[in-house]
Amino acid sequence: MLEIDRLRKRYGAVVALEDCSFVAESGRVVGFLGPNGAGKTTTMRSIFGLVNLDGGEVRWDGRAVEEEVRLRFGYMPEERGLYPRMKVRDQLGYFAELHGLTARDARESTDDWLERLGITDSGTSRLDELSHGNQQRVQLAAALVHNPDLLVLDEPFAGLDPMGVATLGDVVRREADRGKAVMFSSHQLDLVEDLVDDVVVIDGGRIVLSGVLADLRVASPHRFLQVAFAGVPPDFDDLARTAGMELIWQREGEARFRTSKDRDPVEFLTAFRKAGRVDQFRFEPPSLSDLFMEVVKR
Amino acid sequence: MRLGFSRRVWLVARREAIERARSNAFKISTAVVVLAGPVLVVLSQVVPGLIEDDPVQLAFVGDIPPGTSSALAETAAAIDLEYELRTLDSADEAEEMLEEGEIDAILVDGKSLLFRNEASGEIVFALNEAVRAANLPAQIEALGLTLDDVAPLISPVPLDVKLLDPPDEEESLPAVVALLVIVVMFGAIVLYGQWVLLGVIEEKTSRVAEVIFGAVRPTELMTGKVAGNLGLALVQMGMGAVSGGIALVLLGSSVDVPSLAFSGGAVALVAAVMGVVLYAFAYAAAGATVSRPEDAASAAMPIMIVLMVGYLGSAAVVTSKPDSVIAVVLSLFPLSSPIAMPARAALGSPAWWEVAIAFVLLTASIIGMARLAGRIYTGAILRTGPRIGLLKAFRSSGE
Repeated sequence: MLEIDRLRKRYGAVVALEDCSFVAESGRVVGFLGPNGAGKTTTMRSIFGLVNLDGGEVRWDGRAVEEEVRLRFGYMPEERGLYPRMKVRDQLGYFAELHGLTARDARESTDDWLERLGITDSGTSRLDELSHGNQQRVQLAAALVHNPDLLVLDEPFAGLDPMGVATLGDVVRREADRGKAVMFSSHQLDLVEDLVDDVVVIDGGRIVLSGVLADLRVASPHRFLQVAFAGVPPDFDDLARTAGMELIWQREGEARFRTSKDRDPVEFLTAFRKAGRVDQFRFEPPSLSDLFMEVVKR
Repeated sequence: MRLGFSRRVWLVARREAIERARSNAFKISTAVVVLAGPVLVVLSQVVPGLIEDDPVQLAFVGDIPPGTSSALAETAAAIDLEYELRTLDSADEAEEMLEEGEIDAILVDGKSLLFRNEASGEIVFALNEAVRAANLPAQIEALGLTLDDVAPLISPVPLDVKLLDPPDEEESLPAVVALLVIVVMFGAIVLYGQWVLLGVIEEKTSRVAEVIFGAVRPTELMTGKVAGNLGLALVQMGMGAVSGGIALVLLGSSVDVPSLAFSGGAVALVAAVMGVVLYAFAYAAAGATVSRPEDAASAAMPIMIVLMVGYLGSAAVVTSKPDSVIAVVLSLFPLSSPIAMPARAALGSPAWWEVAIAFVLLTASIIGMARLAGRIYTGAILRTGPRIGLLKAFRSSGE
C-alpha cells in the first residue's frame, strides 16, 4: 500500500501541495483527478523522489520510500521519458536491467510486454519512428517492464484513440487484478469512470475528495436526472422550476438536472410526460464527472 | 535487488557508447578522425621541410677569377650559408632571372655584385671573401712572394667554439608538430565534450532522466555518461592513431621517428584521456542547466572560453618558447595542461617531474570537477524551463 502523508511543497509564493494525503492500495486502481495545476504531477513526482518536499512523507507498506523500494515502482511521466532515437527493444531492456533484472530476464520481459501491448513489430524501430499511440504503449511498457508493485501513470490516456484507450485500460485493470497498486491521473473523466476503483480529487494542492467511487456515488446527497424528448421539447428552465430541480445543461431536446437524493424519480417522470413525449429518461447517482464538478469549484 | 554502483554506471556507460556508436554523427566524426591520422602524419613530415629556408641562388657572369667558386664553398660553409651556384653567359639573361626572382644575386666579372632590391649582408660577405681569396695568389705573386711564404699570415687560426648550455642530446620535434598536437588536443576535448553535452541535454529534454532516477542516482547517470563517451572516444582516437601509424609505415624508411615521438605520444595519450574526462564532467554540468538542444552552445560558452585561453596561449607561446614562464604555467595549470603539456613534450621541453606534477594536478582536478559537476547536475537536471544559473543549481542540490 502506498501512503501519501501530508505532503507540502511551495514554489516561491505558489503552493503546490498543502497537507496532501491519500492511499493507493494493492489490487486497486486509483484515479487521481484534478484540474490543471492542482498538484497531480508534483504529487506523482514526489513518489519518485523527484521533488524536494517541504514536508510530509511517502510510505510503501508502512516504510518511508527509499531507493531500494523505488525499484519496485513503475513511472510513466506526463511528458514521457524515452530516448527518441533508441530502438524500442533495446530501450525497454535497458530500463529493465537498470531496475535489477538480468540481461536474459530483461529480454524476456521486454518481448512479453511488446506482445501484450501489440507492438512486437515495432521492437526494432526507433521510438521517434512510431505513431503517438504506439509511443505511448512503449512508455507504458517501460513503466511495467521490471514488473513493479506500484504503477504510477501521469495522463496515460492523453491523445490516445479509443483503441489505444481500450488497450491501455485493459492492461491497467489486469495489473491491478494481479495485485498491484495502480494510480493514474486523467482529465478524461468519462473515459476512466469504468476503470477506477477509488477516486482521489486534488485541487489547489489539497485533497478535496477521496474514497471508493461506488461509495462516493451512493453517498452523494444528489441525484441526477437526464431526459430526452421526441418532437418539440418543453422549456427546460420552466420545468426545472416547477419540479424543483436544478438545470445542469440542455441541448437539442435533451437536458440534465440535479436534485436531492430523497426525491422519488416517478414524480419527475410524471412531470416530464406532462410536458412532452419522453424518449429517454435516467435517474442516477452522480457520475464521476458530476462528483468532480461538485468538489472542484471554479 | 538494487545493483551496485559500478554495475549501474556500467549499464549507463554501455548504453551511451552503443547508442552513440550507432549515430550518424559518430560515423562521420570517425571517418574524419581516421582520415586525419594520416593527414597529420604527412603534415608533420612535410611542413617542416616547407618552412626551412631554400638555398640562396647565386650566378657568376663574365670574367670570374679562377678559384672563386671553391673559395665561396669554404666561406659559405664557415657562415652556414646554403647556396646553389650557376654560371651564365649573358649578363642580360642573368639580370632577367634576377628580376624574376629565380636568382638572388649576380657576381659580375668578379668586381660587382648585383641584387634586385635589397642586398643580403651574408651574400655580400661570402662573395667578398671568396673573391679576395681567389685574387690572393696573383697579388702575392705581384709582390714577388710565394704562397708558401705568406701562408702563416693568411691561414686562419680556427677559434675553439664552446657552448655554455648545450641542448639535450634527444632530438626535438619541430614546432609545427607541437602546433598539430595543440590542435588535436583541443579538438578532442571539444568533440568529446560535445557528445556528453548533447547526451545530457537529450536526457533532460526527453525526460528520460525522470524515469531513470527511480533506479539510478543522478551522479551515477552522469558518471556513466562520461565513462561511456570516454570509452568510445578512446576507440575513435585509437582508430585515428592506427591509421596514422599505417601512414607512417607506408611513408617508408625516409621517415625518421625520433624516440621522443614515443615518450611524447605517451604524454599526449594520458593528457588526452585526462583532459577529455575533466572537461566532459564540466560539459555534463553545463548540459544539465538547459532544456533545449538549441541552448547547447550558450551552455557550453563558459567552458569554451576557458578552453580557448589554453588553446590560443599554447599555440602562441608554447610552440615558440616552450620553456618560458607562461608556457610552463600553461602546462601545469589543470585547465590548460591537457593542451599545453603534450605540446611541450613534443618539443622535448619539460622535465619528467614537470609532467608528473601536471598529471597529479589534473587527477586532483578531475576528482574536484566530478564532485562539482555532480552537484550542479543533480540540482539542475530535473528543473525544466529556462536556463538555470550554475550557482543556483549548485545550491539547490543541497536542499
